[in-house]
Amino acid sequence: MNQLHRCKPLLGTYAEVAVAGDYSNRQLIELSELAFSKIIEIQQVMSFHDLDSELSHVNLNAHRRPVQVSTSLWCLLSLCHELHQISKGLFDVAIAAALIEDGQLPLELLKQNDMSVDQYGGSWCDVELGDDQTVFFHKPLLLDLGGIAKGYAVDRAFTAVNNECCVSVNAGGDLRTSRWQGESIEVRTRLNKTESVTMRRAAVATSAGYYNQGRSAIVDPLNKKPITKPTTVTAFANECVIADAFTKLMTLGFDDIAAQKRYSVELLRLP
Amino acid sequence: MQHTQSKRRFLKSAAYSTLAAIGVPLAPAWAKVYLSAEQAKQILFPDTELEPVAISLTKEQSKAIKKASKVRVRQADLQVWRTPDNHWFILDQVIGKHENIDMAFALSSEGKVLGMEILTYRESYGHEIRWPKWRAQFHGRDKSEHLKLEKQIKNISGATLSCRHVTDGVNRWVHTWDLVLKSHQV
Repeated sequence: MNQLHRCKPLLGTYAEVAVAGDYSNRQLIELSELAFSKIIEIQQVMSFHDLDSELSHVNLNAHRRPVQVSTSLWCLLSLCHELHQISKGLFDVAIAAALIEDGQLPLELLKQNDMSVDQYGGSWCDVELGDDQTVFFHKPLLLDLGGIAKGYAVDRAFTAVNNECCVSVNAGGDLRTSRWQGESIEVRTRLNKTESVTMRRAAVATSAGYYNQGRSAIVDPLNKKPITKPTTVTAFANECVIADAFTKLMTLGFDDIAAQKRYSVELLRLP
Repeated sequence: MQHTQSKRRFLKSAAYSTLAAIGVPLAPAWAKVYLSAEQAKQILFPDTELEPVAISLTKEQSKAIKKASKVRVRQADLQVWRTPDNHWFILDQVIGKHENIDMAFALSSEGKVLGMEILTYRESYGHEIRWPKWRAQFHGRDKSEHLKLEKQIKNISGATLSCRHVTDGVNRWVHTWDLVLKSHQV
């Protein structure tokens, strides 16, 4: 069995793709290129930092008129709506304005519309998803898909090649792997330590604020402030996008067992 | 088998000793090797003849690159190869607060980034780990200590590390092309 392990800077972090199978080096390069191409695609659609991304186009225009979106953005926004419903509003990706105010996201997008950050006061409740794959904001607001887009990119890269070979995709700690049974991962915690944890599903994600001077990118939708809890939350699920979403939910205090069962999620809190 | 393991330990230790000798400021807590330079060449410039070009930056050139890119030049001796079409294959090291990364870059004959690959990623815990203590632990001990180090380089999940220093590296190389490499094209 031949294998190839690559790492490229993508999604604002380090994205690893490992592929293995009875293939030549050239074939493994092609398979890994296919996986990376899916990550790049999602980055081009969903990056808040890229003023030319589809997300930026939505952020700039959806409060003026309904904006038609691509299938991948539509799928992710539909999931955001579903999670908003089951968490009774705790899961809310209309938090970019709060992150800009906190200095965690850049200001450039605001300059395009000549609006100040406090003019973007809407929440997910003001987002309307139309039947024709359109998005409309009833109030100006800014979406940041952050970690959940990372998880989605990992899933897309994984499913692009997993029928052809063994594959593992890890983007900044959002990970999905073919051979997870019996495997363990190292989970970063505070104080520069790692803790070894057995994989419980194919996908895992972890959220914490220790690499950002204790500031989290997770915003409490009630007070619109980034939370400052020091714990590390790890979630296991069949898909990375779900694992990532539930790390945010658990950090915000949503520990509904029925929801965890519905999405087949297992959660772990570390120091 | 025992001899092979001892040899592997020695080579790893020698590699890290070399890093210390050339003044790498961070003691790696763990490292992950992805690609060799040869594999990176095959990915970035498949089936292409690469000619090594000996370039050592003068102090003035280093200053000019730093001024243009706002990123310090750490090594005067460049590891660069030129293709017949005047594209460039570059090996470099990027050093950040938490990490120390060996990278390969590909630049076009017009100084545009064609691609990049990470060869080795070393993560550091900075000043909290003292070099001699780490070396003692590594030389350590028995097989179980060695296996623990091996385990540490498996998959890691955690808060997102920004790749800002890689971005800085790209920026430095784009200006290095403009100020130095361009004049070495045929």
